[in-house]
Formats: sequence, C-alpha cells, structure tokens
Amino acid sequence: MFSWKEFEKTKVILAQDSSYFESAGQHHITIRPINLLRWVEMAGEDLGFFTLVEIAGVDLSGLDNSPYPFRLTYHFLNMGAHQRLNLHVCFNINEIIPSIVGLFSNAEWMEREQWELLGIQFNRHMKSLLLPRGQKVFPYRKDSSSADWPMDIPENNPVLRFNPNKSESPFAEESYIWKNYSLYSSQSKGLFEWKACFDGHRLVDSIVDIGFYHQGLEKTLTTKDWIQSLALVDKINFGASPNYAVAWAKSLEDLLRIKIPERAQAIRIMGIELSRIFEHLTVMHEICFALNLPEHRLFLNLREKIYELMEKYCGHRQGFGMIKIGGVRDDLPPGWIVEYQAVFDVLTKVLKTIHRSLISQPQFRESLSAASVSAQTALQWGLSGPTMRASGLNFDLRKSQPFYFYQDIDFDIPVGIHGTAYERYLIRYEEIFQSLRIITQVIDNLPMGEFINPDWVKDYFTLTEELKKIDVSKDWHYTGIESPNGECGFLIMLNRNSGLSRVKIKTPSFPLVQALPLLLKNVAEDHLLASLASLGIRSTELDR
Amino acid sequence: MILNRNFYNKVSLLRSAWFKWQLAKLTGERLFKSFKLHKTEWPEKIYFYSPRLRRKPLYIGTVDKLSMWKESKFCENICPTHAIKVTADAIMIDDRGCIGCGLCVEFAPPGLLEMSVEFNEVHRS
Repeated sequence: MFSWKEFEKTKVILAQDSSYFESAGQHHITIRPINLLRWVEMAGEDLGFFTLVEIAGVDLSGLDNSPYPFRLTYHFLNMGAHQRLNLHVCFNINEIIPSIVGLFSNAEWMEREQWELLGIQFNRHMKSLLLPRGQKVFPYRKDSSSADWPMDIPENNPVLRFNPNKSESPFAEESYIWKNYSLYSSQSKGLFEWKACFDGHRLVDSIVDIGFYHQGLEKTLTTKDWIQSLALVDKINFGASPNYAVAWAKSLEDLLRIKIPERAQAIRIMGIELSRIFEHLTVMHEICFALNLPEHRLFLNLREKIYELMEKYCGHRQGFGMIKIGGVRDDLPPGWIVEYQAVFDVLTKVLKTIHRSLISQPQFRESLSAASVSAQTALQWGLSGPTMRASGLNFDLRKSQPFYFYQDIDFDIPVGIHGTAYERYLIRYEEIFQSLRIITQVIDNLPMGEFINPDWVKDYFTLTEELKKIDVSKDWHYTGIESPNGECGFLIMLNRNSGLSRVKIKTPSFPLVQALPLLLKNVAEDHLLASLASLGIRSTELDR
Repeated sequence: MILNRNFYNKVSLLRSAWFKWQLAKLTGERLFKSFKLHKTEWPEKIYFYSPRLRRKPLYIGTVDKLSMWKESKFCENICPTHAIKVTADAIMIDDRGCIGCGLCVEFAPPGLLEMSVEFNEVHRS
C-alpha cells in the first residue's frame, strides 16, 4: 500500500521536489522531468505499480500562466493493492523528457503518440504512429495550423537482404516468406496492416502499422458537449458500446456527484453484461471461422438473439444510445424479461452443445494450443481482460473497484494457467455464463422507481453552469470499466471555461496490437489466424 | 489424490468399460469410430435475421408547425455530426451524416420529430 505520509519520511529528497494530492481515491504527484526516471523506477519496483496504463500529454499554454505549460501524465496501476498513481510531469517545450521504454515496454507506442501529437521531445529516435510520416505539424498544440500536410511515405516495408557471394550458402533470411495481411483482406481483423514473416511454417517476425481511420476522436470530444459526445463515444467499439458510454457518463456523474436511481443502475449493469456476451460470441465465431469449422454460423445465430433483445429495448441492435447522463434512455418495455428468459434457455442449451462438439475435435484443441502469454509479458506490456486473466493474473475491475451493484452480486472470475489461445477461449466461454448469472440476479431483485434522475431530465442546459463550480485544481480524472476485451476508460482534463482541454481514451486493443509481434512469435502459420482472433482485437479502438 | 479407492482393484469388464466411457466423456475422445458421443443439435437451418436498418429522425408535424422549429434553435445545434440544416421553408436531414443517436428527437418541441421504424420511411400518416 502506498501512503504519502510514510513516503515523505523515508524518501526525503524525492518528496521535496514534488507535490501531492489525492482525489477520487487516486494518488496524484506533480514532478519535474529530472526526477521522472527515478520516480518511475521506484513506482515499478518498490511501490508495486507494475502496469503502465496510459500516457497523456496536454498543452495549456493559453490557459495556464505557469512557466511550465506542457504536461505529461503517467497513469500506473497497482493490481495487488487496487491503487492508481498519476505522475504529472510539468515542463517547458524546450526540455527533453527521459524515455521510460527500458522500464515499461508498453510505453513505446504511447511516447511516439505524444511526440507526434504535441511535439514533446524524448531522448530516443521517434517515428510517427498515427499520422503520415515526415510530418512537420503537431496538431494538438495551441499554435498548430494545417498549412502543409505531407504525403504518406511508406517506411515500414521490410528490407530484404541477399547473399551476393554465390559460392557461399545463402542467408537464412532468403528462405523467409513475407505475407501482408493488409487493410481489406478478409483474414485480418479490420483496418490495421500486419506484415508477417514466416520461415517455412512458423512466424519469425512481424511489423504492425496502425492509424488508418483518421477520425480524430479525442480532438472532437473536446469540442462537443457532454451529451453530444455520448453518441460519439458509443461508436468506439461497436461490440462494447454500453461499456464506453457508461465510462463516459460515470466520469461526469462522479465529478458533479449526480445520483442515479437504482433502477437505472440495474439496467446499466444488464447492458454491460449483454454486450460482454455478444462480444465474446463474436470472438468465438471468429476463432471457428479462422479454422474453417462449420460451427461459426451457430455463434452468429446466438448473437442475433441478443441483438434482438437490445433492439427491443433501445431501438439499436448493438445498444447505441442506451445510456443517458443521470440514468438510462427508457424503462424496460413490458414483456422484455420474459423474452430474456427465453433467450437465456436457448443460449445455455445451444452453447453447451456447440462447446462440447468443438472440444471433441482434436484439431480444435491442437490449433489453439499455441500463442501462450506469460504473466510477466502481460504485466510488462500492459495487457488486460481475458488475455491477462488466461495467463494466471486474477484481476477484474468489477471485483477490485466495484461500482453500482457489483459488490452485492455473486459471480466468479475464471483464471487460466498457461495463457494459451485455448484457455482464452475457455475463459470467454465461462464468462458468458457468469454474466448470464449476473443478469438473472439483477432481474430477480430488480428495484422499482424511476429510470432517470428527474433533476437531470430537463436540465441539460444548466450543465455548463454546474461544471463551473467544480474544483479545477484536481484536473485529471480517470474512470475505467472492465469491457469484454479488457480495461476501457477515459482520462479527462477539465478546463476553467467549463469545457474539456484533453480527453485520452484508454482502449484494450492498443497494447494488444503493440505486443502482437511478441505474442504470436513461433506460431505455426495454420494456427496463426485462430490465435489472432482469440486475442479479441478491435481495430476501431486503435484510432485516436 | 485418488478419490476412488477401488481404482486399483480388479474390476469386471463391464465396470472398466464404464470407466472408459466416463473418461471419454471428460476428454471428449471417441471410443469407437462408428460410435458418436456427442450428437450436435443443430438449430433451425434458415435463420431470419432482423432487418439492419438505421433509424433516423422523421418529420411528423404539419407545415404550419415549422415556425415552432425555427424558434427553438437547439435542434439544429444539438446534432453531433451537423447533419441537420434549416432553410427558409424546409428542414434537411442528411442521411449520410445522421448516426441515429436520437438527440434531435429528444430535444425537439413535442409532435415534430419521431424516430422511423421502417427502412427508408419518408412519411407517416
């Protein structure tokens, strides 16, 4: 457990140069870049903050009169003690920030992202990640202008070497085969480019390239109202839209201390768990589709039944527009619970038969036995969700930071041992039954009352006035929620003019894709796509 | 740990066959090739998917109510993708821009807008 009072006594030198405050159960420490590496090393080794969740930078040059207008925030998580640490580095743009890639491998893409958006200098060579290469404009700076936007120069192409001396034996690399799982190929999982290198039949090396959506969602969220951005946040991941919407709405409700009625809490839990079920079903479908098994069709049929349930509630098949600030959109329609029970019966019965028939095929078990992730790599690369739990780490945000009714509900968290793709599949299979168990418990004890806070139904327009009353000194605010593929959340920085100066979206797919060359190393080519599907990567989450 | 004490004792042929059958059940392996352990119950072969439509706002008011719309400027501004445009005598909702969030329906004066139910629905009597 980290406590500042004990820390001040023991580490006097570090404590002198930094200031501390606590808000919403999280530790915030403001430091200078000279002390950054020492702080990060101590946080990782002594204080037990093993995972780096997110890095976010912001330019406050117009708003803040301090000599250090730029800020970088390193968000760490301590899984054992359920604690979160924010290291705020204040600096001038001319200063050079030490890179922490040596301590957290996860930080490589995050630092690249901050460099290309804000022009923050790190002490290592940088390549652009999301923007076109050879850029000269840093779009998140206050003084930026889109004057000359360069063309995209393809740089990630592999360099092929051949032995010029014909009398010698050829290089081993000459026999390698490069395959491009490109943007629109049916085999890859969406809009990211993946160049894979095989020696005969095993994967040796691969190069990942992202940034093809060009939405600029983080920037647009700062310009919209909170209510408008709820509609945009839904579309980050089509499978898990209620998760992102709840995380967005919850961050505002925590700041303004809006109480939402109990019935709305129950309906929100049901939305989250239903989305978890159909996201897991799609992943299971993708695994079977990659292996050419005919069962993949059956998973889609099951998913369709949950889509219909969602459609009967809110009009959209994937649960868009379900959550409003202060509650939910509508009350449960009459007869919805009866239909849920019918779906429950079909799901449990059919899913078990499909599962049994899949397990009985030795081909299925063999092809998923590869791509094992150890617990150390899961921590080092900041993985979360079923991928992390399959490697043996027992951590779930529904248990560690229970919100709404999660602390009163009985449910279990399945945990694996070796972290293979087969265990990831089993965990997904078990989590479907656990979330069904949660929903039935919620329906049994469904509280009566209103579905939305009556003070907030018509008072959306007073929101801006309410936001001005918030204490702005506690600027950064993080809310995380366990989405089906891992931890999703928002790092939000409030503004004195009742707006947002920075929003950082934390998605589970970003660290997964970053670690993809490592996770799928030495996997046979026949088993590659199935083990890729088992990770549950959604390419819409990769965009910023 | 061995739970069954009679595991190492001599067992009859029938008993051993039963054990094998139980093991096969657990591991999912087939005893004989001709014998099918798990008979998959296929659901109905043809599944009728519900139509994948995007619900969009539909103007249900009469022409004289247009002034009500113009007075409340908010409906135009609430749209997160700027899909609504108001001219002198018409309201234009861009289908390509509309993401079907339903915010305009929520904030419009009552009796003017409603979400559509069928695909390409233009008018509702």
